[in-house]
Amino acid sequence: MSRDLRTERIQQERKQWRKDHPFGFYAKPTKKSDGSLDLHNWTAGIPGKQGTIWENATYPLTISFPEDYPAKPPKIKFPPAFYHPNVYPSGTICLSILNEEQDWRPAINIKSLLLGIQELLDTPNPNSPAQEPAWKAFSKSPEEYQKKVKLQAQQYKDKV
Amino acid sequence: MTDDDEYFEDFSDNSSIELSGVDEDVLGNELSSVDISDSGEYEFDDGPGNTDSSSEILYSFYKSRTSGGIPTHRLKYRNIALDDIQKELEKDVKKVQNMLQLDYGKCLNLLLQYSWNEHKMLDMYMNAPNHQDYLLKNGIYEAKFPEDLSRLISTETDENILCGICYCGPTKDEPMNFFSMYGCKHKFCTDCYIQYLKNKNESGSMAIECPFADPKCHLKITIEELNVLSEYNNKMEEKHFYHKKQEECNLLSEEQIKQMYKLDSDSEFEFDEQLDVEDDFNNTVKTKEKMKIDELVYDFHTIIQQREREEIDKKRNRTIISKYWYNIGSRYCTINTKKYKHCPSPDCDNVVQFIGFDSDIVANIEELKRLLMIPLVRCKSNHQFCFGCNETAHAPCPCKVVQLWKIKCEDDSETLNWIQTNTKDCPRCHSLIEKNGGCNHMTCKSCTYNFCWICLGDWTAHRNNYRCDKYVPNEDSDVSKVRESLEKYMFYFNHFNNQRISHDKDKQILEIFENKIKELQINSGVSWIESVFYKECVNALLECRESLKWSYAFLFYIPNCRGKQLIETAQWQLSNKVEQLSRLFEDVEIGDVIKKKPMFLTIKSSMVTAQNVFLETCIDIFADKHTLKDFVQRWNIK
Repeated sequence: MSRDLRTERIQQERKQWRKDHPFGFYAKPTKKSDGSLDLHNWTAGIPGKQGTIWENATYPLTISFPEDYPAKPPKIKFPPAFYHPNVYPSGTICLSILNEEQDWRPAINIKSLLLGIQELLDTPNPNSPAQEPAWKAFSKSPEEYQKKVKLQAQQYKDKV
Repeated sequence: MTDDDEYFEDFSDNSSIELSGVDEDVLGNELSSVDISDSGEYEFDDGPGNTDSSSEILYSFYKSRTSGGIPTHRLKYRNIALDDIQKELEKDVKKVQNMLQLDYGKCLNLLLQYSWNEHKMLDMYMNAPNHQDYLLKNGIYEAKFPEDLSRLISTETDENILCGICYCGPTKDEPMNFFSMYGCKHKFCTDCYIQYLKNKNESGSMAIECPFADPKCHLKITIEELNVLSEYNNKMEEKHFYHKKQEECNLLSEEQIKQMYKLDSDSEFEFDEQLDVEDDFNNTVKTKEKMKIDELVYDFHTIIQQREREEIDKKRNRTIISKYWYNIGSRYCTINTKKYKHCPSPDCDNVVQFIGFDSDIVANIEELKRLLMIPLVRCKSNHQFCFGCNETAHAPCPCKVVQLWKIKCEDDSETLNWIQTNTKDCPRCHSLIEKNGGCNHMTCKSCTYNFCWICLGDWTAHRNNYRCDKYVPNEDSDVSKVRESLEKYMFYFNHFNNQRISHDKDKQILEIFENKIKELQINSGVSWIESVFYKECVNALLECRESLKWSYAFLFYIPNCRGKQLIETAQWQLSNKVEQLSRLFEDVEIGDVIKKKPMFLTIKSSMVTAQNVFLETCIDIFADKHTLKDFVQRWNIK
């Protein structure tokens, strides 16, 4: 296979995303130091669902596509020390669809990944804790958890 | 080989699917000839190929009793290739298929789901309130496959269709092929589907799910569907290969060579034929320049070599379907590790199948190990290994002793022992100091402290430069014991290591030798058959080196007794022969190899005899039950 499946697919996904993407989300390639587009590394943002403690904020993400994408899943990260039970201290998200050994399928696209992560924000999976503070608070003292999440929402507050 | 040929001919007569001729692979043939539609009539057991000659029963030792009359409790085994397991497994699947009346691949997927635990699977199936739901939960679509599954691949021109993996779609001018499983109809382009399956195959997955993700499709691909894609892929690759070859390859085509050598166009190339052909060629076309002939012969060789390489590559890469079966086979081996063992040699796909013991006393491998016997087996490619611990052959050292030895060699305790016996701490800065001669007046290199080696006191207190009056040396029995055991260990370890090094060196020499033999074949018309004898000599030599190596580990643990002396004598005789053969390989002029063939073979056979005597002597040492008991107790062997 001489054609670069990764780049082709990313280009197509970009096209599709620009045509149609869920409200409040953004996803775009980063720029290299020489000003050209780096298709293999993206930044993205996920809005917290309205009516949840995550609302009125957009949470930033980095997406990097490995060489064998889409055979392997992209690496998606929140900023380090992001407060969520299923996010590792490094910002890596613990989600089955992002895991090659588990539920990753080459047909999963950026849109469904980001929607999946948005879903995860308010419905953490208590069975796969990835960091101690958020997980402890989530399972033991919901009040503290809500306070911390809201504080974080302030940090990533939408500019209206 | 003839058996196999018949086997396939027999099948292809019944087969409803036309063989493409592309797929030379055994597995592919077999599967494509499975008539899926009339499952009831097809019987795997009837194939004459199932009773092939490879099922000969072999033994782990050449004698059931040593000359001393000790039973060797031999292990009985059979040599199979990993692919042969497929035949066994297919029988299981067939059985289930007859019971459940489901398509073949669906039964296979069910068995995979339950790690071949047929009873559990049937139990779950029978007790499920709704079979259809139960199957769906296991990723199986109940409805029977149609006769022609090749229609799962469709050529599309509709511009609205998009492959969900590469995001490419067909146009009217550029149609694309799409594939979907029978049960879910999620279409992806064949390239992407194949790539997806190859990736999954590579990671050893089985019962691969549909790549569709939104929402996730749990349908698992069956072997029938895999076969459709595998055959399609083979055809594509073949096309691609010939295309490339035509473009790039300026060598003579096979057809041209055959014509040139007046070969029947159907006959196969083989090394032996090549020589006749060469002669033929030299006689008939004498008018041509010698240079020209050499060039042609060279081309001929290149082509043959290239073809051999391609065949190996093809086998290694395998088709999608054979790789899939390969994964299933190796998983089965790891589940049934008591019955099957994978050959530990690199790149070897052979398997040894356990059958039983040549003894009433031993019931399982563990018991055999406890009797300090070594279940040595050889795979189809003649690689020798131990069935008990899946390591390369380590006779005469029993498995348990090998473990002890390895722990001892890895363990730092021996080094610590040495440090303890040979060094002292500087009394001031505690650097380790080894006294390697000279008088007792020590000057520490780190802190320049002057002290006495004997009493470790300040040197200024010593008037006499050569004697310490303060301390009367009292030979501490503990220290001397430690020193003694250390020396013993060092002795055997050095010998062990020397043999290891010799083994590696022999290997290098033999590689050089092999290249020379190849040159000889090309330059002076020595046939392959004539020169092949050296290979058995090489193998025997390397195996004897291994025996010698492990004998030192063994002897380290054997207490001093008459048996030990006998072993040492036999060992000495073996090592004599080994050195003799090794030297012969090193010294022989390559032109004399054929002349010296009898010499090689004589030394080799006396070496093998010496090896057998040696191994028997090692077994005989435990003839006395007390010796065995003492040994087991002393080294705490469980």
